[in-house]
Amino acid sequence: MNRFSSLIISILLGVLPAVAQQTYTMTGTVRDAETKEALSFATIQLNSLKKNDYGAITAADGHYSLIGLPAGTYTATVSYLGYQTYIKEVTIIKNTSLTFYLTSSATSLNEVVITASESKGITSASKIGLTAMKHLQPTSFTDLLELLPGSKASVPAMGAANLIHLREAGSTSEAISSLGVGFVVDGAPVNTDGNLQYVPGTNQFNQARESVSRGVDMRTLSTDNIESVEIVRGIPSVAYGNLTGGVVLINRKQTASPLTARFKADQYSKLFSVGKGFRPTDENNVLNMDLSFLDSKVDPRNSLENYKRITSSLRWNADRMPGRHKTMNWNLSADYTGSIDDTKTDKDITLKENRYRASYHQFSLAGRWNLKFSDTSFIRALRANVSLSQEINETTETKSVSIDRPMAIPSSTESGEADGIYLPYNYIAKMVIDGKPFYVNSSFAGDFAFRWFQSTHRLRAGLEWAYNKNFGNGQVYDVTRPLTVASTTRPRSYRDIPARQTASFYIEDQVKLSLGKHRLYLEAGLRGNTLLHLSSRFAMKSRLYLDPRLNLQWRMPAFGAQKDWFADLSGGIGWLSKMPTTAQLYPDFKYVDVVQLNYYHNNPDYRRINLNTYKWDNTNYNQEPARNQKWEVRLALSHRGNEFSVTYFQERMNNAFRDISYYRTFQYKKYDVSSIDPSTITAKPDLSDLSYVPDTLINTFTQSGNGTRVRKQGIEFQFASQRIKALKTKITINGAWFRTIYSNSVPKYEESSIFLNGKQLSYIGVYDWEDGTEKQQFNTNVMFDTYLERLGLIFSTSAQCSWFSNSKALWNNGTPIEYIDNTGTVHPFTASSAENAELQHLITNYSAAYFDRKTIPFAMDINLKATKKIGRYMNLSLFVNKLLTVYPDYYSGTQLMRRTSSPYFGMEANLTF
Amino acid sequence: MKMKNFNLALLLAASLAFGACSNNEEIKVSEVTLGITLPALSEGTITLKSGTYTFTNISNGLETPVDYAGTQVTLPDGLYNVSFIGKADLTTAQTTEVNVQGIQQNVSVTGGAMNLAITLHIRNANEQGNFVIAEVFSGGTIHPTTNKAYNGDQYIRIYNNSNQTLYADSLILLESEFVTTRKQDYTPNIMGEAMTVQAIAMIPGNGKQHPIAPGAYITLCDNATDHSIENSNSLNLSTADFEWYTGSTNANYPDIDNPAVPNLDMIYNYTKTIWVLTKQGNRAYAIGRLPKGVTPQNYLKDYTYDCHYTLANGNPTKEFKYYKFPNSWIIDAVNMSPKNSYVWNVVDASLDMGFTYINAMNSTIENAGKAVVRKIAYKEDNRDVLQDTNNSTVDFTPSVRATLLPKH
Repeated sequence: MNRFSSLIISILLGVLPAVAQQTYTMTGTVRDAETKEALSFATIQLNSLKKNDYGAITAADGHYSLIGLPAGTYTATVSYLGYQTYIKEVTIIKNTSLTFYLTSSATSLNEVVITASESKGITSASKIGLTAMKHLQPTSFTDLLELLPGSKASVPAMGAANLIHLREAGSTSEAISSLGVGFVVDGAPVNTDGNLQYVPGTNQFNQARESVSRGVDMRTLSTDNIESVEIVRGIPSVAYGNLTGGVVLINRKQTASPLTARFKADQYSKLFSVGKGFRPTDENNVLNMDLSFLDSKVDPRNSLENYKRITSSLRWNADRMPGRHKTMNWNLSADYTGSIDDTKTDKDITLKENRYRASYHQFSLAGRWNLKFSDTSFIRALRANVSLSQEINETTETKSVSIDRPMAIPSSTESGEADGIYLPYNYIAKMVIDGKPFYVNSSFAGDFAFRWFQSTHRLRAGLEWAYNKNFGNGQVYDVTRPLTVASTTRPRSYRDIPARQTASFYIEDQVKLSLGKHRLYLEAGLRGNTLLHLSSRFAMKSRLYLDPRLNLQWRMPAFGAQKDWFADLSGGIGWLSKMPTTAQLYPDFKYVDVVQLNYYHNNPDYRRINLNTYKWDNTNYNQEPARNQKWEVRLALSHRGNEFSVTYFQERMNNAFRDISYYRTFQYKKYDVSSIDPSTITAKPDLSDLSYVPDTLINTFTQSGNGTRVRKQGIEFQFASQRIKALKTKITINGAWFRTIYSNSVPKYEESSIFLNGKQLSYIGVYDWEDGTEKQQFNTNVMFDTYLERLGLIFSTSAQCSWFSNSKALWNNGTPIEYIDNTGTVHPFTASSAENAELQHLITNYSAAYFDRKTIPFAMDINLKATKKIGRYMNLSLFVNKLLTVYPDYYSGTQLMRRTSSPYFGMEANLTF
Repeated sequence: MKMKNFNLALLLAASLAFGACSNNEEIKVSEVTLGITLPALSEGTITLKSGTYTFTNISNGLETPVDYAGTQVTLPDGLYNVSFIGKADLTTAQTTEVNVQGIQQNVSVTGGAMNLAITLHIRNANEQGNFVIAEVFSGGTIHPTTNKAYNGDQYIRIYNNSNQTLYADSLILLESEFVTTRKQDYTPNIMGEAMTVQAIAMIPGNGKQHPIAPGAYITLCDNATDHSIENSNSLNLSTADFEWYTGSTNANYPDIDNPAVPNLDMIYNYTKTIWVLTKQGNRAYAIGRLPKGVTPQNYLKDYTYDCHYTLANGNPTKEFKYYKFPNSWIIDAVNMSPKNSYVWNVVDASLDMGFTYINAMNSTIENAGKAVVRKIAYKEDNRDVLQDTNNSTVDFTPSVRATLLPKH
C-alpha cells in the first residue's frame, strides 16, 4: 500500500511538477556499447544520500525518463540482464539528457562476437552483428543462416533460388516454408507477392531458379551494407504481418564510417564491394553509399552456368530537433539490385544453343520519418514509412526443339472444336516472361505511453497498406512454336491481372510491471489483415483476418551467493497469417485440348487434326490466408557473462498453401477414319462425312488452395561463455532438435496414366489419407573462437554435428475411399472394387518397411575461419568449411551407405581507410 | 597462442590419420567350388557329357573358362556372370544327345571360399518349331532436318520357324518393365515364374484369321505409313501386317492410325499416349499367348504384380503395380542391352540366357537404323530355319542395319 501511494505521489509529482519544490527531468537512452543498439527494459535507478530513490525502465526504443527529481547528486545504477552494471555519479541541477552505454558481459573482455547471440528480448530471436558477418565471409544472406541454432554451414547453391527455412528438420518443397518468413529491410517489408517470373513447362533445373510464391530469394540480398540482423524465430510483434513463420529484420548501415572495400574469392564466386558513410554537412546528416558486385558459377568447372548480382544503395539519414522535446529522424534511400541467372548449353558440343536467362532489376525508393516526443507526453513517437519499388524482370528461355513424330498444337485460345496445327520437325522456341511488378508499401504508426497502477504501458498502433501490380507483357511467345510440345498454356499479359492490395492495422500494448524485485513484461497485440478490391467471387472479399499475439517475460531478481545469477522465463502464443500471392490468386487459364481426329495422310494437304479445346478459369475462389499458430516457452540464464537459453516451441497450421487436386470431365467425339480411302481423297476429310462415337474423359488437375498440414516442434538452445581469459577463447554451443511434419489436409484426387484393354482408365480415385513425411533432426554446433588482440587475429574452429536426422512416411493404406467414373458419379470404393480389373489400379500398396523410420546417423564437419589484421588498412580472412569431416559409414536396411564431402574454402581482403 | 598451437596440432594429427588410411591393398582371391544342378525330368535320366563354365568379370569383362569336369577355380574377388554351355545324354526309351545350358548372374566372389551351383536347362528338346522373334528394330531413324531421333517407324518381325502353317491370331507381343542396364532387388522376385511387362499387345483374330506359312514373317510396327516421304532415312511401313495404336487424346502426343492396317489389341500399356519401343535398346521383348480359358479381361484382373525395390539410399520404394506374364506362356524372348552398360537379364534364363545389343553404347543417335536380327541356322526345304537356342548372345546378330530399311 505504501508503495502504491508513493507511486500515486510520483505520478502526481510528474503531472504537477511545480508543487512543493523545483524538480527536474532526466531523459535519455540506454544502448549497447558495441552495437549502439537500444536496450529495452533496462533498469535505471537513482539513489540520493537523502534516501530518495527514483527508478525507470527503458521502453522498446531504449528511452527512459525520470521525472520529478529534486536538484542534487545521485548515484545512477543502470542494469540489464547480460550486461555489466554501470554506476555513475549524476548531478541534477537542470533538465538533463544522458545516454548510457552498457557493455555486454559476454563481450566485456574483448568486444568481439563472431556468432549469433540469442536475443534477450521477449521472444526468441538471433542477433547477428557486424563482426560476426565479417568473420563468416558471406556471399549472400543465405550464409548467415549457418549461425541459427540447428543450422550448418552449406556449400553455396547459386544455380537455384536460395530460400529460407526456419525451425525445420530436413528439406521440403512446400512453398509456405519459405513464403511464410517475412523480410524487413530498414523498417520496410520486402514484398515478393507480385512475382510471376515462371516459365510454364520449363525443366526442373530452371524451375529451381524461380521463386514464385516462395518468398525472398536470398541470393539477391548482399550482406555488405548490413549493420545488424535480427532473425525472430519466435512470435514476432504484431507490427510484422503477412507471414506465418518468423521475420528477418535487416538494419543497414546508417552511421558515418570510413571507406571500406572487400574482395572475396572462393571456388564458386568472386565478390567485390565498396562502401562509405560520411557526413556531408554536419553531425546530423549521414550519407551512406555502397556498391557490390558478385560473379558466381554454379559449378566451378562450367563457365556456361552463372549467377551475377549488382547491388548499390544510397542512404541519407538526418536527425533534427524541431522542438524542445522532439527529435525527428529522416531516412531516405534509393537502391538498385540487379541479378542475372544465366545458363546455356555448349554450342560446340550440341550444335545448338539452349539458353535460360533470368534478369532481375529492382529500383526502389524508401522514406522513413520518425518523430519522437518527450518522454513525459502521452504520444511518444510517430512514424511513417513509404517504399516504392519497381522491378523489371525478364526471363527468356530459348530452346531448339526437335520433334520425333508428327505432333500438333492447338490453334484456338477459346473453348470449342477447332483444327490444330502440325508442328515442323525442327524449330527454335522462345518464351519471354516479361514481368514488371510495381510495389508500394506504406505504414503509419504511433507509440503512446501511460501508467496504470503499477504498470507502465506503451501502446503501439499502426496502419499499413500494400499494393502491387504487374505492368509486364507477361508470357510472350509464338503459340505455334511452343517451348515444350507438352505445353498447354497460352500467352498471357500480366497487365490484365488486377492489382493486389492489402490493408492491415495493428495495436499492441507493451506492459512493464515491477513486483518487488521481479519484473514482468507483457506484449499483447492484435493485427488485422484484409485484401482490398477483390472480386466478389472470392470468399476472402471484405473479410478481416485477425491475428492475436501474446508474449510474456518474467525477469527474476538476481540470485546466488554473489547475486550474480540472473534468470528469465518467457512464453508466448500467437497466430500468424499469410495472404495468398498474386500467382495464387490469379493463376493462368487452364487449357485442355482433346484430339477428336488425327488424319495423317502422306500428302500434307490432306492432313487434319481436330481438337476440342476446353478453357476454364483455374482460380480457387475459396482460398483463404494460411494461418499458423505458434507457441513457445524459454528459459534464459546469465552468470558472469556466460549466457544460456533454451526454447521449446510448437507450430500448427492446417491450411497452408499447396496445389490441391480436383477433377473434371471432357466430352469429345472419337471420329472414325475407316471410311476414308487414302488413295482417292482429294482434300482434307470433311468432319460432317465422318461418323463418330461420343466419349468422355475424366482427368485431374490442380489449383492453388489451402491443403497442407504443418506441424513443427523443437527445442533450441544456446550457451555462450564469456571469453576465457587464459585462453582468450570463447566457447559457443548451440543446437536444436526439430520435428517437422508436412502432409495434405484435404482429400486428393488421382488419375492413372495406364492404358487398359484398349482404353484409358476412366476412373479417378479419391484418397483421404495423409500423404506426408515426418522428419526429425538434432544438430549441434560447438565453436571455439580465439581473439589475440596483440596479433590482430581472430581464429575460430567449429564442429558442426548432425547427431541424427530421420524421416518417416506417414502411414496410409493406399486405398481410395471413393472412385468417380467419367459421368462424374461418385461411388464408394469397396472390397469388390479392389478386385475389379480396372479399379484395382487406383490402389497403391506399400511394403511394411516403407513406413519405417529411416535414420541417417552422426556426421560432423569441422570448419575453420581466421581473420588477421595486416598493417593499418587491411584485414585478411580465410575460411575452410568441411576441412575435416567425420561421416561414418552406416547401414540403411541392408545397404551400406558411404558419405563423402568436399571442402568449401575461400578468402577475402577487407580494406578500411 | 596456446589455442592456436592446439588447433594446428589437431590439424596435423588429423592429416596424419588420413595418410595412415591409404595403405595399398593386395588383390584378394577366392576359391569357388563348382556344382551343377541338372534339369528335373518327368521321366528318364540325364548325364552331363561335356561343357564349359565361363566366368565373366562384370567390372573388367575378363573371361575365365573352366571345363565342366573342373570342381574348383580360383578367381580374383569381384562380381561375375557365370554361364555354362554343354551337352548331355538324355535317356528315356533311348539315349539322345541334348544341349544344356545355364546361367547365374551377379555372383559375388568374395570371402576366400564359396560354393556355386548352376541350374541347367535342356534346350531344343523335342521342339517342333514355333514363332520366333526374328528382328527387333527399336532404334528408329534419324530425321534428316533435325538430325535427331525420329519415331513411329519402329517395328518387330516375327517369323514362323516351324514347318507348318501357324496362326498369328492372339499372339501377344510383350515389352519388359525392367531394364537390362539397371538392376534392382525387385521384391518379391518372380523372375523364375513370370516376366514383368509394361506393354501387352495382341494380334486380333478369331483363331484362324491370320495364317502364317512356314518361313513367313509378320511385321508389327508403330505407325504403318510410308515414313520415307517425311524422312528420307526411314522406310515404307504402309504394308506392315499390324500396327499399334492407342488413340491418344492428348493433342501434344497424338497417335496416328492407318485404317488400312489392322491395329493390335492393346491389352495393357503403361502409357495412354504413344508407345515407343526402347530407343536405348535396354529392354527385353517376348512373344507368347494367353492359355485357353484366360481372357484378356481375366488376365488384367488376376495377373498384377506388386513389387518394390530398395533405393540407393537404402529405403524401399512404394509398391509398383505391374503385370506379370507367366514364363510358361512365353514362346520366345530376347534380352537387349547396350553392350557396355549391360547389367542383368530381365527374363528368366530358361527363356533367354544371353543378351543381344543394338550398339555398344547407350546412345539413341548411334542406335539409329540398327536392329538385332536372328541368325539363320540352316535351310530346310528351301526354308530358312532360324537359330533358337534360347541364348540371344549366339542366336542374334547384334547391331546390324534393320532389314526393311532401304539398302545404303
